[in-house]
Amino acid sequence: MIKPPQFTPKNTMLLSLVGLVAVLTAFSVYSFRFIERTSFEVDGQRYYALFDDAMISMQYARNLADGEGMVWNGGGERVEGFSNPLWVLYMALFHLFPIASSQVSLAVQVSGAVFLLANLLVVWAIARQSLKSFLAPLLAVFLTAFYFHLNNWSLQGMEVGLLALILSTSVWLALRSWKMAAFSPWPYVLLAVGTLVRIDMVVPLVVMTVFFAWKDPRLRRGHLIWGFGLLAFSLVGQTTLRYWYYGEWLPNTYYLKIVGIPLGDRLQRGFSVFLDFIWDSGWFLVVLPLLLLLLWPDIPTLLLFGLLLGQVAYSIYVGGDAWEHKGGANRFIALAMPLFFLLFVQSADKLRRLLTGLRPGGGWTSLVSQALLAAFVAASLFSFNVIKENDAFAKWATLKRPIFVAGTQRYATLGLLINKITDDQAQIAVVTAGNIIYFAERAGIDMLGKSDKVIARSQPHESGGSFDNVEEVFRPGHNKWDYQRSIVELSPDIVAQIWGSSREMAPYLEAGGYEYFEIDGFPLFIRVDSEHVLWELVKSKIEQ
Amino acid sequence: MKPPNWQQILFVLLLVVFALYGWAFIQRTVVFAEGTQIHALFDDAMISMQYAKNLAQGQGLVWNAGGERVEGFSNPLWVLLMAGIHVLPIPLAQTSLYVKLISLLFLLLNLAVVKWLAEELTNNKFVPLLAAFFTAFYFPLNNWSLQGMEVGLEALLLSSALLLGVRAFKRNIFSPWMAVLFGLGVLLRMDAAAPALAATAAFAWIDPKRRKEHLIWGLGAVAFVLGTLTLFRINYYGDWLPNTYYLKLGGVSLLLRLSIGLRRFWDFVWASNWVLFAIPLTLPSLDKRKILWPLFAVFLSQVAYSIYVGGDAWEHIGGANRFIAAVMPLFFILFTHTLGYIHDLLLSTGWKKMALATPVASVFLAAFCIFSLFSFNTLLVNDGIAKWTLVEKPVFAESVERYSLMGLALKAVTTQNATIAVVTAGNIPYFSERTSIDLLGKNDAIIARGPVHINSSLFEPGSYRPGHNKWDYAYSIGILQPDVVAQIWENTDEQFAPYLVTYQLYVIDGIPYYFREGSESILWDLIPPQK
Repeated sequence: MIKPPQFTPKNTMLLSLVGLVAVLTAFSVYSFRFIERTSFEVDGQRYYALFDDAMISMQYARNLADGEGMVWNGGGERVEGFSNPLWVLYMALFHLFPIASSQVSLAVQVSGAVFLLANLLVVWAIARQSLKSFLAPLLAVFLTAFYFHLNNWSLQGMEVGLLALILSTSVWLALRSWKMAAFSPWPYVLLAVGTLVRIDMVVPLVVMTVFFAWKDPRLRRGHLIWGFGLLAFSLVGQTTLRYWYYGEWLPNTYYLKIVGIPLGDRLQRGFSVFLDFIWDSGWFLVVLPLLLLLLWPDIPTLLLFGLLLGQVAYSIYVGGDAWEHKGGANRFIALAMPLFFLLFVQSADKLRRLLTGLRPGGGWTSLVSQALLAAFVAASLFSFNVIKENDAFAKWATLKRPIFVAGTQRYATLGLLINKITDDQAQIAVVTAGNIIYFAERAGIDMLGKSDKVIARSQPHESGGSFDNVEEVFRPGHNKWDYQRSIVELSPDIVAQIWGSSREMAPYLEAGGYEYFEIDGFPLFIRVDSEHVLWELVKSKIEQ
Repeated sequence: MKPPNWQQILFVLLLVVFALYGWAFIQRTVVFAEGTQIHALFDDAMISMQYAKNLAQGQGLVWNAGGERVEGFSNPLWVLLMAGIHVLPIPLAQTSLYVKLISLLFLLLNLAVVKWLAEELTNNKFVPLLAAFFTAFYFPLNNWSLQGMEVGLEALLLSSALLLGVRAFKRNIFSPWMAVLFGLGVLLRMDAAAPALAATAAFAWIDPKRRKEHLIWGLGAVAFVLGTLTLFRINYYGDWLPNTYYLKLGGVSLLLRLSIGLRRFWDFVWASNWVLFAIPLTLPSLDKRKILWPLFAVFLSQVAYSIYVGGDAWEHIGGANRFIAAVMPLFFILFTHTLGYIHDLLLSTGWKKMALATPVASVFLAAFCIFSLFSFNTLLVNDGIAKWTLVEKPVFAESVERYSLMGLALKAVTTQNATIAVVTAGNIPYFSERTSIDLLGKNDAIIARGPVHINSSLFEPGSYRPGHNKWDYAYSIGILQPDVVAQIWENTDEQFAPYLVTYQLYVIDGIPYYFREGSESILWDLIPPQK
């Protein structure tokens, strides 16, 4: 009989390292391909652009780098239409260099890939602390590396990759200190920095502080002082700066997304989209880690669960994200998915050990069961990477362009068109407030209010609906508009997009003196008495 | 007399709830025509009903009374059973109700058989109940059966045959009754030969002492029924094979069929949550008894058969097709048996020291089963849950209503001599009581042997729907000249256009029909004025 290969600690370590290098290499190739897939050509030139929300941050970053202040419109009103201040500062850094606007996004995307790559190393380090076999840590890294939604948010310019790295690193540091029965302030420092990247990171900061204060009574004081101390420092610091610069206690996005929307409606939608996320990801796979809670509830497991559930609870509290219809983890949950994958692989591996433990056998049982575990995890990736669009597999495997890219291209191209047919005094009303304004290099009017205080503070048009359709009628950040203000009062030269029903918008367009033009396939409403529209060019384009 | 234990009470409760569910299901499929209730079946079942009606009326086992002998059915025993109903003095509007009730009875019996079979395989008290629970509320099995297909009876025969086989094996004896039941299954539907042969092979393998008996009886029963059917077919229809064979398998390469069948099966597994299907795959490592092999063999043989024929024509609805639905009760036994093992295994860990470990584990198991039922009942249509929970009408019910009302409407505006061309060859001919022309060839030997129209490629089904890919309007309309063209097949407007010259479009009750100009078989005065 053929004897199974024997694994010594030395060759196990070697195998593990070889596997890790293979996954990291594969991820690097994948992310390179992914970024290339998000680029497009306009007039023979290759453009890189980000997901539209990220391009709003880019607009703030460019203005900051240009000395115009941290504002959406250069020289315009100070409105805090972002919720990721450190990320905006980071983006501003790239704008200090002489990089063409068509290429700046590439730099952000590449840095996103670097954050994700670093995150993989940290996930591997965490997994090595708690998973015994050489294979299980690799599988956790593999799932994280090719989880589409984390990659998609990060490689299309959102701060999610950096936040995932911060969260994973703080977990790794915290568990390492806990194992050594020592206290380290660094997990809290990192998470506090995370709150500067995105203020929602107060959730994991609070969760970790409370968790260790509860589970580590000997060092409770240190945890509480550092955790809550840094939390207070960060919040007070941010709020002071905000009040000094913007004259507000809270970001504009808070008013936009929370004010006027009953908590019940938010919870209803948040819960509904979370259930959909679980169901669409193959519910069994998502609940499998609960076995760990029931059977093997050790400190690392409980910490990971606590942090994961904190993100889930926050997502439910704010009513989910605005792009839940695309499927997969939203931005709040995606950053904690590496922690989920650690729990998932751990539970599957423990189950494997339990099942194979039934049959006392040689090494072949272990080998075959590990191969089956790898197959199970690989197949699970297909379930986790659900995308509610046609050709989902082709999109996450980069055989086709990822989701959002078609929209990005359209908005960027429209921005470039507007740049051509207007002078630099023109004002453009938009729904998607990122790419169009960034590439048009014109002052914008944000019809959905992310960068407009008046609209952000108005009442939402619809926020309720029944449990069945709440997802359709309530999209966080997309439920407030005021055409009287945005079109009639502010009188933009061009209304570049409409939101919802054109019938609802029509009277305001008529009152504002707008006429419909289709230019290069884009429907535009242009104010006929505008002096900032290059009419000769418009006419020549229409005649073409 | 011993008082009933909790399992028996729960099982009786399950039977009662299922009977109520079945009755509510049947009520949900009622059609209202001019204030009266009529019952009709899924259109394919109504084709069998048409044969049954003609047989009972002494017109022969044919689709059109007095018409050509074409074997446009593949379920002879079911047609005979339906003919039995037509012998009784029951109006046509109510015959289908009795078919549904008989199916409900078969499904109820099947629950008992599933429970007994599971009890033969496990000592876990939950497993038989859970297997029966899944079977009771598995929508595709109920839907096919309660809308008139033979699937419920087929499931009962297969489960019963295995129950007899397993019992005999455990008692170390041979029972020929298993082979008899499998033989009946083949008479019910020829393709039941696949599970019959698979079970025979499995028992011959695991029971070497009685291998000879298994092979003689198993192969003998299948051969006897197939031989008898073939002799009858040659004698009565003048053909070696049923017309449906030529229709479904002719013109489509084996490779294409296999690839599409695989794709259909994979889509079914994926939509139902692949992990749940993977769970029983761990069973051989947990329970190594050979007695489980026949169940695996029968289930897998039906899956293999489904793949071989390229799946069914209604895969776009989701859930198990007719071939696989019949063996889903066996899958549920294997599934729940595995769950029972894992449940016991988890309880055997340190967890059992916890005070509430057993009840907590039971609650988890119950919750897991309920979620799993929702996954298994995933339909690829809007409001899938509302449809299987009967909040809305079940799938197919709306089309059945449409076709049966079309049949009644055409009966009212045509004479007895009229001929009607149809795509859905069940309800319209049955209720119109007119000679019909089957545009898709199930009841037309010429079309069934004609060329196939598909735009499919490997693993991409495209327009491929078994039994729905052959038509020839030049023959069916150009030559046969029906008085009415009640329907044309999807996306064939251009091919139909040349024959419109002699037909006029009329809309009755919102449904368009093409009437042949000058036809004396149409009661023109009764056609409502057109807007």
